[in-house]
Amino acid sequence: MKKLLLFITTTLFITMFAVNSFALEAEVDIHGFISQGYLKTSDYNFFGNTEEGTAQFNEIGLNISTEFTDELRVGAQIFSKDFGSYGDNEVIVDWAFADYRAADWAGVRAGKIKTPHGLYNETRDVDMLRTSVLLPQSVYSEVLRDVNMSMHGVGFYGEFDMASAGSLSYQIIGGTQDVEGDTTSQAMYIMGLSSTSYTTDLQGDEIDVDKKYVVGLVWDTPLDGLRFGFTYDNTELSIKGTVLNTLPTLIPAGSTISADINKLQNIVISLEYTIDDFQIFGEYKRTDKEFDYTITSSGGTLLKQARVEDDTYGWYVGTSYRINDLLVIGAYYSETKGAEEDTTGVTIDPEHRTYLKDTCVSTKFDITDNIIVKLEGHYIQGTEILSAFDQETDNTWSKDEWGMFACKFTYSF
Amino acid sequence: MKIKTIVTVFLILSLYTAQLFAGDITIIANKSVDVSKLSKKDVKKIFLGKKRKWDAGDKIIFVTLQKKSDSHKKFLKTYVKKNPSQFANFWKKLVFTGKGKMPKYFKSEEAMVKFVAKTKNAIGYVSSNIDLGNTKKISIN
Repeated sequence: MKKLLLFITTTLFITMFAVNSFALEAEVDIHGFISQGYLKTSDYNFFGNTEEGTAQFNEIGLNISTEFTDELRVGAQIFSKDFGSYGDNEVIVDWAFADYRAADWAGVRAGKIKTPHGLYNETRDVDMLRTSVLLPQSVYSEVLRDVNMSMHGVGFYGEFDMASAGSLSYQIIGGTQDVEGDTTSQAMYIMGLSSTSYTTDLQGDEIDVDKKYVVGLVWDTPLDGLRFGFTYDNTELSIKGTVLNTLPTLIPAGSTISADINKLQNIVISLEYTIDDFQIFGEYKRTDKEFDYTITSSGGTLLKQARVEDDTYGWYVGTSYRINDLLVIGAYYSETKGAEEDTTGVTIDPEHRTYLKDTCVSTKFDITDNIIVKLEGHYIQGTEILSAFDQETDNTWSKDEWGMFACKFTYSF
Repeated sequence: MKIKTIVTVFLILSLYTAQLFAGDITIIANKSVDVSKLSKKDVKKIFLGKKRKWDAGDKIIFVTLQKKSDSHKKFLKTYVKKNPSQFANFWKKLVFTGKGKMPKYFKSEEAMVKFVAKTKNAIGYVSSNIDLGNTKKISIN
Protein backbone atom coordinates (compact mmCIF):
# COMPACT_ATOMS: atom_id res chain seq x y z
CA MET A 1 0.00 0.00 0.00
CA LYS A 2 2.75 2.44 1.00
CA LYS A 3 4.78 1.56 -2.10
CA LEU A 4 1.71 2.24 -4.19
CA LEU A 5 1.20 5.62 -2.58
CA LEU A 6 4.88 6.46 -3.02
CA PHE A 7 4.48 5.52 -6.65
CA ILE A 8 1.42 7.79 -6.97
CA THR A 9 3.34 10.66 -5.42
CA THR A 10 6.30 10.13 -7.73
CA THR A 11 3.96 9.85 -10.70
CA LEU A 12 2.37 13.17 -9.78
CA PHE A 13 5.80 14.82 -9.83
CA ILE A 14 6.75 13.27 -13.15
CA THR A 15 3.36 13.97 -14.71
CA MET A 16 3.52 17.56 -13.61
CA PHE A 17 6.87 18.13 -15.30
CA ALA A 18 6.18 15.98 -18.34
CA VAL A 19 2.75 17.34 -19.13
CA ASN A 20 3.90 20.86 -18.49
CA SER A 21 6.62 20.52 -21.07
CA PHE A 22 3.86 19.98 -23.64
CA ALA A 23 1.41 22.50 -22.20
CA LEU A 24 3.53 25.56 -22.70
CA GLU A 25 0.68 27.92 -21.90
CA ALA A 26 0.42 26.56 -18.32
CA GLU A 27 2.16 28.85 -15.83
CA VAL A 28 4.39 27.20 -13.26
CA ASP A 29 4.58 28.78 -9.81
CA ILE A 30 7.59 28.21 -7.59
CA HIS A 31 7.66 29.34 -3.97
CA GLY A 32 9.82 28.52 -0.98
CA PHE A 33 10.98 29.43 2.48
CA ILE A 34 13.99 28.95 4.68
CA SER A 35 14.06 29.46 8.45
CA GLN A 36 16.90 29.33 10.94
CA GLY A 37 16.24 29.51 14.66
CA TYR A 38 17.95 29.25 18.01
CA LEU A 39 16.56 27.71 21.22
CA LYS A 40 17.82 28.05 24.80
CA THR A 41 16.21 26.63 27.93
CA SER A 42 17.03 27.37 31.55
CA ASP A 43 16.64 23.68 32.49
CA TYR A 44 15.97 20.45 30.63
CA ASN A 45 16.35 19.71 26.92
CA PHE A 46 13.41 20.60 24.68
CA PHE A 47 14.02 18.03 21.91
CA GLY A 48 17.54 19.24 21.10
CA ASN A 49 20.41 20.19 23.36
CA THR A 50 18.60 23.38 24.37
CA GLU A 51 19.97 23.60 27.89
CA GLU A 52 23.30 24.59 26.34
CA GLY A 53 21.53 26.42 23.50
CA THR A 54 21.10 25.00 20.02
CA ALA A 55 20.79 26.17 16.43
CA GLN A 56 19.50 22.75 15.41
CA PHE A 57 16.26 24.46 14.54
CA ASN A 58 15.62 25.08 10.86
CA GLU A 59 13.05 24.48 8.12
CA ILE A 60 13.37 24.60 4.34
CA GLY A 61 10.50 24.17 1.90
CA LEU A 62 10.24 24.47 -1.88
CA ASN A 63 7.07 24.00 -3.87
CA ILE A 64 6.06 23.94 -7.50
CA SER A 65 2.51 23.99 -8.87
CA THR A 66 0.61 24.57 -12.05
CA GLU A 67 -2.95 24.70 -13.35
CA PHE A 68 -3.61 22.49 -16.34
CA THR A 69 -7.20 23.63 -16.69
CA ASP A 70 -9.50 25.99 -14.76
CA GLU A 71 -10.51 23.02 -12.60
CA LEU A 72 -7.31 20.95 -12.36
CA ARG A 73 -4.20 21.94 -10.48
CA VAL A 74 -1.19 19.83 -9.52
CA GLY A 75 1.60 20.65 -7.13
CA ALA A 76 4.19 19.32 -4.72
CA GLN A 77 6.44 20.59 -1.94
CA ILE A 78 9.67 19.12 -0.68
CA PHE A 79 10.57 19.88 2.90
CA SER A 80 13.48 19.49 5.27
CA LYS A 81 13.73 20.33 8.95
CA ASP A 82 16.04 19.96 11.89
CA PHE A 83 14.54 20.22 15.34
CA GLY A 84 16.88 18.66 17.85
CA SER A 85 16.26 14.94 17.78
CA TYR A 86 13.70 15.35 14.96
CA GLY A 87 14.18 15.71 11.23
CA ASP A 88 17.96 15.87 10.91
CA ASN A 89 17.39 17.74 7.62
CA GLU A 90 16.18 14.65 5.84
CA VAL A 91 14.35 15.75 2.68
CA ILE A 92 10.76 14.54 2.46
CA VAL A 93 7.78 15.15 0.21
CA ASP A 94 5.63 17.41 2.38
CA TRP A 95 2.61 17.40 0.09
CA ALA A 96 2.02 16.33 -3.50
CA PHE A 97 -1.45 16.10 -4.92
CA ALA A 98 -3.75 16.64 -7.86
CA ASP A 99 -6.68 18.92 -7.11
CA TYR A 100 -9.85 18.90 -9.20
CA ARG A 101 -12.41 21.54 -8.24
CA ALA A 102 -15.70 21.01 -10.04
CA ALA A 103 -17.50 23.82 -8.20
CA ASP A 104 -16.90 26.20 -5.30
CA TRP A 105 -18.64 23.71 -3.02
CA ALA A 106 -17.13 20.48 -4.41
CA GLY A 107 -13.53 19.53 -5.06
CA VAL A 108 -11.37 16.45 -4.71
CA ARG A 109 -7.68 16.04 -3.93
CA ALA A 110 -5.61 12.87 -4.28
CA GLY A 111 -2.02 12.28 -3.21
CA LYS A 112 -0.15 13.39 -0.09
CA ILE A 113 -2.30 16.05 1.58
CA LYS A 114 -1.75 18.30 4.59
CA THR A 115 -3.98 17.23 7.48
CA PRO A 116 -6.36 19.65 9.18
CA HIS A 117 -5.96 19.52 12.95
CA GLY A 118 -7.15 22.75 14.53
CA LEU A 119 -6.89 25.95 12.51
CA TYR A 120 -3.12 26.09 12.15
CA ASN A 121 -1.72 22.58 11.69
CA GLU A 122 -1.55 22.74 7.91
CA THR A 123 0.69 25.82 8.10
CA ARG A 124 2.70 24.97 11.21
CA ASP A 125 5.95 24.86 9.21
CA VAL A 126 5.21 28.15 7.45
CA ASP A 127 6.73 30.38 10.04
CA MET A 128 5.90 33.77 8.52
CA LEU A 129 2.14 33.25 8.89
CA ARG A 130 2.03 33.60 12.68
CA THR A 131 3.47 35.78 15.41
CA SER A 132 4.86 33.06 17.66
CA VAL A 133 7.90 30.89 16.97
CA LEU A 134 6.37 27.80 18.58
CA LEU A 135 2.70 26.97 18.33
CA PRO A 136 0.97 26.19 21.66
CA GLN A 137 2.09 22.67 22.60
CA SER A 138 -1.29 21.81 24.13
CA VAL A 139 -2.80 21.47 20.65
CA TYR A 140 0.26 21.38 18.35
CA SER A 141 2.60 19.04 20.18
CA GLU A 142 6.03 18.90 18.57
CA VAL A 143 6.31 15.26 19.67
CA LEU A 144 3.38 14.27 17.48
CA ARG A 145 4.13 16.69 14.64
CA ASP A 146 4.77 13.93 12.11
CA VAL A 147 1.77 11.89 13.25
CA ASN A 148 -0.51 14.87 12.60
CA MET A 149 1.20 16.55 9.65
CA SER A 150 0.09 15.03 6.37
CA MET A 151 -1.33 11.84 4.93
CA HIS A 152 -1.64 9.86 1.72
CA GLY A 153 -5.17 9.54 0.52
CA VAL A 154 -8.17 11.15 -1.09
CA GLY A 155 -9.90 14.24 0.25
CA PHE A 156 -13.14 16.00 -0.60
CA TYR A 157 -13.49 19.69 0.11
CA GLY A 158 -15.46 22.81 -0.67
CA GLU A 159 -17.33 25.74 0.75
CA PHE A 160 -21.06 26.32 1.12
CA ASP A 161 -22.44 29.85 1.04
CA MET A 162 -25.07 30.00 3.78
CA ALA A 163 -26.34 33.47 2.85
CA SER A 164 -26.90 35.53 6.00
CA ALA A 165 -25.42 32.73 8.17
CA GLY A 166 -21.96 33.11 6.64
CA SER A 167 -20.14 30.25 4.94
CA LEU A 168 -19.06 26.74 5.87
CA SER A 169 -15.95 25.09 4.43
CA TYR A 170 -15.25 21.40 4.82
CA GLN A 171 -12.52 18.83 4.27
CA ILE A 172 -13.01 15.08 4.53
CA ILE A 173 -9.88 12.98 4.00
CA GLY A 174 -9.30 9.24 4.22
CA GLY A 175 -6.08 7.32 3.76
CA THR A 176 -2.90 6.33 5.52
CA GLN A 177 0.47 7.88 6.30
CA ASP A 178 4.17 7.34 6.76
CA VAL A 179 5.32 8.60 10.14
CA GLU A 180 8.66 10.34 9.65
CA GLY A 181 11.05 11.56 12.30
CA ASP A 182 12.10 10.13 15.65
CA THR A 183 10.28 6.80 15.90
CA THR A 184 11.27 6.15 19.51
CA SER A 185 9.93 9.42 20.98
CA GLN A 186 6.70 9.31 18.98
CA ALA A 187 6.06 5.61 19.63
CA MET A 188 6.64 5.92 23.37
CA TYR A 189 4.57 9.12 23.60
CA ILE A 190 1.63 7.46 21.85
CA MET A 191 1.95 4.35 24.03
CA GLY A 192 2.07 6.50 27.16
CA LEU A 193 5.61 5.53 28.09
CA SER A 194 7.57 8.75 27.55
CA SER A 195 6.87 10.29 30.95
CA THR A 196 8.38 7.58 33.12
CA SER A 197 11.96 7.79 34.28
CA TYR A 198 13.11 4.57 32.63
CA THR A 199 12.22 5.44 29.07
CA THR A 200 15.87 5.70 28.08
CA ASP A 201 15.81 1.91 28.33
CA LEU A 202 13.20 1.65 25.56
CA GLN A 203 13.46 1.90 21.81
CA GLY A 204 10.68 2.45 19.26
CA ASP A 205 11.23 0.29 16.20
CA GLU A 206 8.20 0.80 14.01
CA ILE A 207 5.06 2.91 13.67
CA ASP A 208 2.77 1.46 11.03
CA VAL A 209 -0.37 3.44 10.26
CA ASP A 210 -3.11 1.25 8.84
CA LYS A 211 -5.74 3.91 8.20
CA LYS A 212 -6.56 7.46 9.11
CA TYR A 213 -9.55 9.66 8.45
CA VAL A 214 -10.06 13.34 9.12
CA VAL A 215 -12.98 15.76 9.05
CA GLY A 216 -12.37 19.49 9.20
CA LEU A 217 -15.02 22.22 9.29
CA VAL A 218 -14.61 25.99 9.43
CA TRP A 219 -17.58 28.30 9.85
CA ASP A 220 -16.95 31.89 8.79
CA THR A 221 -19.70 33.65 10.67
CA PRO A 222 -21.64 36.69 9.39
CA LEU A 223 -19.61 38.80 11.82
CA ASP A 224 -16.53 39.80 9.82
CA GLY A 225 -13.37 38.24 11.23
CA LEU A 226 -15.08 35.70 13.50
CA ARG A 227 -14.70 32.03 12.63
CA PHE A 228 -15.09 28.72 14.39
CA GLY A 229 -13.34 25.48 13.55
CA PHE A 230 -13.91 21.82 14.33
CA THR A 231 -11.62 18.94 13.40
CA TYR A 232 -11.93 15.26 14.11
CA ASP A 233 -9.40 12.59 13.24
CA ASN A 234 -8.88 8.94 14.07
CA THR A 235 -5.81 6.85 13.34
CA GLU A 236 -5.50 3.08 13.51
CA LEU A 237 -1.90 1.99 13.86
CA SER A 238 0.48 -0.55 15.32
CA ILE A 239 3.68 0.15 17.19
CA LYS A 240 6.62 -2.08 18.03
CA GLY A 241 9.38 -1.35 20.52
CA THR A 242 12.25 -3.08 22.30
CA VAL A 243 13.33 -3.06 25.96
CA LEU A 244 17.05 -2.27 25.84
CA ASN A 245 17.83 -2.76 29.54
CA THR A 246 15.85 -4.57 32.25
CA LEU A 247 13.10 -2.28 33.53
CA PRO A 248 12.33 -1.58 37.22
CA THR A 249 9.13 -3.58 36.74
CA LEU A 250 11.41 -6.60 36.07
CA ILE A 251 10.74 -6.77 32.36
CA PRO A 252 13.97 -8.19 30.95
CA ALA A 253 16.17 -6.63 28.30
CA GLY A 254 15.41 -7.87 24.81
CA SER A 255 11.64 -8.04 25.41
CA THR A 256 9.35 -6.73 22.71
CA ILE A 257 6.51 -4.25 23.32
CA SER A 258 3.71 -4.28 20.75
CA ALA A 259 0.58 -2.18 20.66
CA ASP A 260 -2.38 -2.42 18.30
CA ILE A 261 -4.04 0.95 18.55
CA ASN A 262 -7.53 0.97 17.09
CA LYS A 263 -8.41 4.39 18.43
CA LEU A 264 -6.09 7.38 18.47
CA GLN A 265 -8.71 10.06 18.21
CA ASN A 266 -8.40 13.84 18.36
CA ILE A 267 -11.11 16.46 18.51
CA VAL A 268 -10.13 20.12 18.22
CA ILE A 269 -12.55 23.03 18.65
CA SER A 270 -11.26 26.43 17.55
CA LEU A 271 -12.18 30.09 17.63
CA GLU A 272 -10.48 33.03 15.95
CA TYR A 273 -11.61 36.66 15.89
CA THR A 274 -9.82 39.34 13.93
CA ILE A 275 -10.69 43.02 14.24
CA ASP A 276 -8.40 45.16 12.08
CA ASP A 277 -4.89 44.67 13.49
CA PHE A 278 -6.03 42.84 16.62
CA GLN A 279 -6.65 39.14 16.87
CA ILE A 280 -7.73 36.73 19.59
CA PHE A 281 -7.80 32.97 19.25
CA GLY A 282 -8.22 29.85 21.31
CA GLU A 283 -8.49 26.10 20.84
CA TYR A 284 -9.41 23.06 22.89
CA LYS A 285 -8.18 19.57 22.08
CA ARG A 286 -9.14 16.21 23.49
CA THR A 287 -7.28 13.00 22.67
CA ASP A 288 -8.74 9.55 23.31
CA LYS A 289 -6.69 6.38 23.02
CA GLU A 290 -7.72 2.76 23.20
CA PHE A 291 -5.30 -0.06 22.57
CA ASP A 292 -4.13 -3.53 23.49
CA TYR A 293 -0.47 -4.06 24.20
CA THR A 294 1.68 -7.07 24.86
CA ILE A 295 5.16 -7.50 26.25
CA THR A 296 6.92 -10.63 25.06
CA SER A 297 10.33 -11.89 26.19
CA SER A 298 13.10 -12.49 23.67
CA GLY A 299 12.28 -16.20 24.02
CA GLY A 300 8.68 -15.59 22.98
CA THR A 301 7.06 -15.89 26.44
CA LEU A 302 4.11 -13.57 27.01
CA LEU A 303 5.08 -11.43 30.04
CA LYS A 304 2.23 -8.97 30.11
CA GLN A 305 -0.96 -8.25 28.21
CA ALA A 306 -3.39 -5.43 28.93
CA ARG A 307 -5.87 -3.02 27.43
CA VAL A 308 -5.34 0.71 27.87
CA GLU A 309 -8.05 3.37 27.66
CA ASP A 310 -6.78 6.85 28.14
CA ASP A 311 -7.87 10.44 27.52
CA THR A 312 -5.93 13.66 27.75
CA TYR A 313 -6.77 17.26 26.96
CA GLY A 314 -5.18 20.61 26.26
CA TRP A 315 -6.26 24.14 25.50
CA TYR A 316 -4.86 27.60 24.92
CA VAL A 317 -5.92 31.20 24.42
CA GLY A 318 -3.84 33.85 22.69
CA THR A 319 -3.77 37.27 21.14
CA SER A 320 -1.71 39.29 18.68
CA TYR A 321 -1.63 42.94 17.70
CA ARG A 322 0.06 44.64 14.76
CA ILE A 323 1.54 47.89 16.06
CA ASN A 324 2.79 49.07 12.66
CA ASP A 325 4.06 47.71 9.33
CA LEU A 326 7.24 46.51 11.08
CA LEU A 327 6.14 45.08 14.41
CA VAL A 328 3.58 42.55 15.65
CA ILE A 329 3.36 41.50 19.30
CA GLY A 330 1.61 38.42 20.64
CA ALA A 331 1.07 36.22 23.67
CA TYR A 332 -0.60 32.97 24.59
CA TYR A 333 -1.27 30.77 27.59
CA SER A 334 -1.34 27.03 26.92
CA GLU A 335 -2.23 24.20 29.28
CA THR A 336 -1.95 20.42 28.85
CA LYS A 337 -3.09 17.70 31.21
CA GLY A 338 -1.64 14.25 30.54
CA ALA A 339 -2.22 10.82 32.07
CA GLU A 340 -1.31 10.23 35.72
CA GLU A 341 -0.20 6.65 35.14
CA ASP A 342 1.87 5.24 32.34
CA THR A 343 0.75 2.32 30.22
CA THR A 344 2.30 -0.28 32.52
CA GLY A 345 0.36 1.10 35.50
CA VAL A 346 3.27 2.97 37.09
CA THR A 347 2.27 6.32 38.67
CA ILE A 348 4.06 9.13 36.88
CA ASP A 349 6.36 10.82 39.32
CA PRO A 350 7.01 13.66 40.01
CA GLU A 351 3.56 15.08 39.40
CA HIS A 352 4.84 17.91 37.15
CA ARG A 353 5.54 15.23 34.49
CA THR A 354 1.74 15.08 33.98
CA TYR A 355 1.04 18.72 33.06
CA LEU A 356 2.34 21.74 31.16
CA LYS A 357 1.40 25.38 31.69
CA ASP A 358 3.15 27.59 29.17
CA THR A 359 3.00 31.41 29.16
CA CYS A 360 4.53 32.79 25.97
CA VAL A 361 5.27 36.33 24.77
CA SER A 362 6.38 36.92 21.16
CA THR A 363 7.48 39.72 18.86
CA LYS A 364 7.60 39.49 15.08
CA PHE A 365 9.46 41.97 12.90
CA ASP A 366 8.40 42.15 9.25
CA ILE A 367 11.70 43.49 7.95
CA THR A 368 10.51 43.26 4.34
CA ASP A 369 7.67 41.38 2.60
CA ASN A 370 10.05 38.41 2.37
CA ILE A 371 12.12 38.59 5.56
CA ILE A 372 10.92 38.25 9.15
CA VAL A 373 12.63 37.95 12.52
CA LYS A 374 10.97 36.69 15.71
CA LEU A 375 11.94 36.80 19.37
CA GLU A 376 10.06 34.81 22.00
CA GLY A 377 10.12 34.01 25.72
CA HIS A 378 8.36 31.19 27.61
CA TYR A 379 7.72 30.72 31.31
CA ILE A 380 6.73 27.09 31.78
CA GLN A 381 5.33 25.15 34.72
CA GLY A 382 5.38 21.37 34.38
CA THR A 383 7.34 19.05 32.13
CA GLU A 384 4.70 16.90 30.38
CA ILE A 385 5.93 17.75 26.89
CA LEU A 386 9.55 16.82 27.61
CA SER A 387 10.73 13.40 26.57
CA ALA A 388 13.02 11.46 28.90
CA PHE A 389 14.97 10.47 25.79
CA ASP A 390 16.25 14.02 25.30
CA GLN A 391 17.48 14.54 28.89
CA GLU A 392 20.94 14.07 30.39
CA THR A 393 21.43 10.66 32.04
CA ASP A 394 21.73 12.26 35.50
CA ASN A 395 18.47 14.22 35.13
CA THR A 396 16.19 13.81 38.18
CA TRP A 397 13.26 16.02 37.12
CA SER A 398 13.94 18.18 40.19
CA LYS A 399 12.50 21.43 38.82
CA ASP A 400 8.85 22.01 38.03
CA GLU A 401 9.44 25.47 36.49
CA TRP A 402 11.67 26.34 33.57
CA GLY A 403 12.08 28.96 30.88
CA MET A 404 12.82 29.04 27.19
CA PHE A 405 14.07 31.66 24.73
CA ALA A 406 13.51 31.27 21.01
CA CYS A 407 14.46 33.38 18.03
CA LYS A 408 14.02 32.73 14.35
CA PHE A 409 14.86 34.27 10.98
CA THR A 410 12.75 33.41 7.92
CA TYR A 411 13.08 34.23 4.25
CA SER A 412 10.24 33.34 1.89
CA PHE A 413 9.44 33.98 -1.74
CA MET B 1 -35.39 55.35 24.26
CA LYS B 2 -32.13 57.32 24.45
CA ILE B 3 -30.13 54.18 23.77
CA LYS B 4 -32.30 53.44 20.71
CA THR B 5 -31.65 56.93 19.34
CA ILE B 6 -27.91 56.69 19.95
CA VAL B 7 -27.73 53.28 18.26
CA THR B 8 -29.77 54.51 15.27
CA VAL B 9 -27.58 57.61 14.84
CA PHE B 10 -24.46 55.47 15.19
CA LEU B 11 -25.70 53.01 12.54
CA ILE B 12 -26.65 55.78 10.10
CA LEU B 13 -23.26 57.47 10.58
CA SER B 14 -21.44 54.17 10.18
CA LEU B 15 -23.28 53.36 6.95
CA TYR B 16 -22.71 56.87 5.64
CA THR B 17 -18.99 56.70 6.50
CA ALA B 18 -18.71 53.27 4.90
CA GLN B 19 -20.36 54.58 1.73
CA LEU B 20 -17.98 57.53 1.67
CA PHE B 21 -15.02 55.23 2.13
CA ALA B 22 -16.29 52.75 -0.45
CA GLY B 23 -16.66 55.63 -2.87
CA ASP B 24 -12.89 56.08 -3.01
CA ILE B 25 -12.45 52.80 -4.84
CA THR B 26 -13.88 51.75 -8.19
CA ILE B 27 -14.23 48.12 -9.13
CA ILE B 28 -13.36 47.55 -12.78
CA ALA B 29 -13.69 44.56 -15.09
CA ASN B 30 -12.91 43.52 -18.62
CA LYS B 31 -15.74 44.26 -21.04
CA SER B 32 -16.19 40.51 -21.63
CA VAL B 33 -17.50 40.13 -18.07
CA ASP B 34 -21.24 39.55 -18.22
CA VAL B 35 -22.15 41.29 -14.97
CA SER B 36 -22.44 44.97 -14.24
CA LYS B 37 -23.33 44.74 -10.54
CA LEU B 38 -21.78 42.84 -7.65
CA SER B 39 -22.47 42.76 -3.94
CA LYS B 40 -19.69 43.56 -1.45
CA LYS B 41 -19.86 39.94 -0.37
CA ASP B 42 -19.25 38.79 -3.97
CA VAL B 43 -16.20 41.06 -4.23
CA LYS B 44 -14.82 39.64 -0.97
CA LYS B 45 -15.39 36.06 -2.16
CA ILE B 46 -13.71 36.75 -5.50
CA PHE B 47 -10.56 38.23 -3.96
CA LEU B 48 -10.32 35.41 -1.41
CA GLY B 49 -10.65 32.80 -4.16
CA LYS B 50 -13.98 31.55 -2.84
CA LYS B 51 -15.96 32.54 -5.95
CA ARG B 52 -13.94 31.30 -8.87
CA LYS B 53 -16.25 31.60 -11.86
CA TRP B 54 -18.50 34.21 -13.41
CA ASP B 55 -22.16 33.28 -13.80
CA ALA B 56 -21.48 32.31 -17.43
CA GLY B 57 -18.98 29.71 -16.20
CA ASP B 58 -15.72 31.46 -17.17
CA LYS B 59 -12.88 31.55 -14.68
CA ILE B 60 -12.53 34.85 -12.81
CA ILE B 61 -9.09 36.43 -13.13
CA PHE B 62 -8.67 38.87 -10.27
CA VAL B 63 -5.67 41.12 -9.86
CA THR B 64 -4.47 43.34 -7.03
CA LEU B 65 -2.24 46.32 -6.39
CA GLN B 66 1.01 46.03 -4.48
CA LYS B 67 0.94 45.76 -0.68
CA LYS B 68 2.06 49.34 0.03
CA SER B 69 -0.50 50.99 -2.24
CA ASP B 70 -3.05 53.18 -0.45
CA SER B 71 -5.75 52.06 -2.87
CA HIS B 72 -4.94 48.44 -2.02
CA LYS B 73 -5.28 49.20 1.71
CA LYS B 74 -8.58 51.01 1.15
CA PHE B 75 -9.93 48.26 -1.07
CA LEU B 76 -9.03 45.51 1.41
CA LYS B 77 -10.46 47.40 4.37
CA THR B 78 -13.71 48.21 2.57
CA TYR B 79 -14.40 44.96 0.75
CA VAL B 80 -12.21 42.13 2.05
CA LYS B 81 -12.07 43.20 5.72
CA LYS B 82 -8.38 42.43 6.02
CA ASN B 83 -5.23 44.53 6.23
CA PRO B 84 -2.51 44.01 3.57
CA SER B 85 -0.49 41.66 5.80
CA GLN B 86 -3.53 39.53 6.61
CA PHE B 87 -4.45 39.39 2.92
CA ALA B 88 -0.91 38.39 1.92
CA ASN B 89 -0.81 35.74 4.66
CA PHE B 90 -4.20 34.39 3.59
CA TRP B 91 -2.77 33.69 0.14
CA LYS B 92 0.60 32.47 1.42
CA LYS B 93 -1.27 29.92 3.49
CA LEU B 94 -2.93 28.57 0.35
CA VAL B 95 0.31 28.66 -1.64
CA PHE B 96 2.34 26.75 0.96
CA THR B 97 -0.32 24.08 1.41
CA GLY B 98 -0.80 23.60 -2.33
CA LYS B 99 -4.32 24.98 -2.40
CA GLY B 100 -3.88 28.13 -4.41
CA LYS B 101 -1.60 30.53 -6.26
CA MET B 102 -0.63 34.05 -5.31
CA PRO B 103 -2.76 36.73 -7.02
CA LYS B 104 -1.05 38.74 -9.73
CA TYR B 105 -0.27 42.25 -8.52
CA PHE B 106 0.64 45.56 -10.13
CA LYS B 107 2.83 48.42 -8.96
CA SER B 108 0.64 51.09 -10.52
CA GLU B 109 -3.09 51.56 -11.02
CA GLU B 110 -2.54 52.49 -14.68
CA ALA B 111 -0.85 49.13 -15.26
CA MET B 112 -3.79 47.38 -13.60
CA VAL B 113 -6.28 49.23 -15.83
CA LYS B 114 -4.30 48.19 -18.94
CA PHE B 115 -4.21 44.55 -17.81
CA VAL B 116 -7.92 44.40 -16.99
CA ALA B 117 -8.79 46.10 -20.29
CA LYS B 118 -6.95 43.51 -22.37
CA THR B 119 -7.58 40.35 -20.26
CA LYS B 120 -10.81 38.46 -20.76
CA ASN B 121 -12.74 37.80 -17.50
CA ALA B 122 -10.41 40.02 -15.44
CA ILE B 123 -11.48 42.13 -12.45
CA GLY B 124 -9.53 44.69 -10.43
CA TYR B 125 -9.90 48.00 -8.60
CA VAL B 126 -8.53 51.51 -8.75
CA SER B 127 -8.97 54.88 -7.08
CA SER B 128 -12.03 56.78 -8.22
CA ASN B 129 -9.89 59.49 -9.84
CA ILE B 130 -8.08 57.10 -12.21
CA ASP B 131 -9.01 56.95 -15.91
CA LEU B 132 -10.80 53.63 -16.39
CA GLY B 133 -9.59 53.30 -19.98
CA ASN B 134 -11.19 50.49 -21.93
CA THR B 135 -12.58 48.72 -18.84
CA LYS B 136 -16.06 48.70 -17.45
CA LYS B 137 -17.11 49.95 -14.05
CA ILE B 138 -18.86 47.46 -11.79
CA SER B 139 -21.56 48.86 -9.52
CA ILE B 140 -21.67 47.67 -5.95
CA ASN B 141 -25.03 46.79 -4.36
